[in-house]
Amino acid sequence: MRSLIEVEHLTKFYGAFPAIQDISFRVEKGDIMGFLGPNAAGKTTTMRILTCFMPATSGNARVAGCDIFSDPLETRRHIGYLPESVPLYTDMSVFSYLKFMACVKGVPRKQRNGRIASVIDSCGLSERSSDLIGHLSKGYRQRVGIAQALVHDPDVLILDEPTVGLDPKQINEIRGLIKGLGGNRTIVLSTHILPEVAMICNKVVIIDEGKVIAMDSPENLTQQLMQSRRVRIIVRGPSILIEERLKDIPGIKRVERKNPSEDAPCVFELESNLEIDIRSSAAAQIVKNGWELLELRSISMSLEDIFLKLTTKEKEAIPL
Amino acid sequence: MKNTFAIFMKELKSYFVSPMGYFVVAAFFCLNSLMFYIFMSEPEWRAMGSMRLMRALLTNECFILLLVVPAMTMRLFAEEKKSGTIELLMTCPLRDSEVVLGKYLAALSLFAMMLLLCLIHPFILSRVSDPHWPTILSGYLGFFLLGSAFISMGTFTSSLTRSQLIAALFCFGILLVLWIVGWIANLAQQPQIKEVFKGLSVLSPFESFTKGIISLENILYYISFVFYCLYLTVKSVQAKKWR
Repeated sequence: MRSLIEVEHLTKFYGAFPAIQDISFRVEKGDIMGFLGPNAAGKTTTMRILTCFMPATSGNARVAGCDIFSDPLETRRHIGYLPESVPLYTDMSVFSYLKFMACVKGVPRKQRNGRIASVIDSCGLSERSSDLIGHLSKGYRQRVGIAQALVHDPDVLILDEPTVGLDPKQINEIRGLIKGLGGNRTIVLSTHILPEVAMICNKVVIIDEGKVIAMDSPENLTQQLMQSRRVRIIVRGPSILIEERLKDIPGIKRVERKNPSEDAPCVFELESNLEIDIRSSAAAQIVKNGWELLELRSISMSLEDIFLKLTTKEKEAIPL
Repeated sequence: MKNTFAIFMKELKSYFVSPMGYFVVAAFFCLNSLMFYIFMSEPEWRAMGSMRLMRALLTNECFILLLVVPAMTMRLFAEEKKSGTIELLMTCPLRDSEVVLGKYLAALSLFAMMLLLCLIHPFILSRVSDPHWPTILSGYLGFFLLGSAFISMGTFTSSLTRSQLIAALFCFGILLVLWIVGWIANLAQQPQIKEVFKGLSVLSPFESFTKGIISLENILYYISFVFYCLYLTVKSVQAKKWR
């Protein structure tokens, strides 16, 4: 089966400046894909190209089987789009705005009211449907923005930074809303907030300076980039002796003392090969010597670490 | 067609959610009525007869039109560009030409409403004298065509910028130049130069309408003017894609 979104070697230049270079990815039906990258990485540019707002300098892309360059009108019928700034007509009421959008997006007259009622309901706008959009809070405007993207029941939903500028409660609500919209719909959302991706998405494309630098599920990405397992332990006892004993444990690669003070309990970080779980042997070693084991836990690498690792890789490679 | 109608209805309604639409209609009607009142009350104008009075009235109304049209058209595209809503509109399954036409027709309908209100003036005139109705209607047809041309220019200038003020000033400037070239035609000595400037003037075809002459040539002049300006607007909206 064909993928719902196929992007091949997309490149866009603004004058001489390359906004995106040779971007390729695929999104399958039902996926929620997170488009992750620092600011000015090319996320919005890619989304604007996919929604046929601007053409690419070179490359190909297909959305729901339509070529976005040769058949932009048909492509747009399959896409619901919410730009980053959530541009809405502030002088219209929520209902009349949605009605207008349903009309220009080609929802047949008979189904129009049904569709509008259903998106008002699913976006939690029932109590605000007669309010002017200009009078709504940022969180509710975001909902209206998502409602208009959904009104023609598109296969693909493209959301550009849907949670930016909201307060924590609103962010949670919008995330829940987006998660609920998945299932039979394909969602592409861009963000520079990492936990958001881990929370909502089942696929991540990380881009930086206009290039795709990683593409996988959040779990796999974490797995792939974790070349070693790390454990943190806190022990009360003679620090130098503990350090030596810990180094003797088979499979251990590195022992790092985190606090130099003698009186306080010692904090160590142990690094071992990925295959070996050293937690039990470390605990056994400490107990055998009669020291007090206060804490022992494994440190998992967060998506944040991966992101930083990926986007700063080249700079690290330069010898100082 | 359905899409054009949707845009048209939305734009027309948005004229009347803010005071702008009411203000423009009221200003146009009040200024014209004031002028009509002055003309009717001056003995020397009344001595000229109803036909010449109507002609003078319509010609003066053109000047008011010159001031009112930029205010009507400035927001059409500039506002959407400023607020970013153009991005959502342009990612809907709409042709650029449908958007341009819908917006243009909305402004044109507002103008038609203003003009219908002003038709009360010849009615009042017919109560006190016996004007030649075909000539008056021909004058109003010319006025409507002139207004359509002005509005198409306003639509175009609005698509060029994000600032409504610049759009309005630009529209006013271009129309004023196209108006003034008519005066140069009157000043010119050589007949060839006179013809060139007369051809450039947006006002000269209108003048023959006020005399009761409806010629295909003049109708086509305005229609092609509108067509050309709207074509430029579509190209200007699409210009984002060239960069």
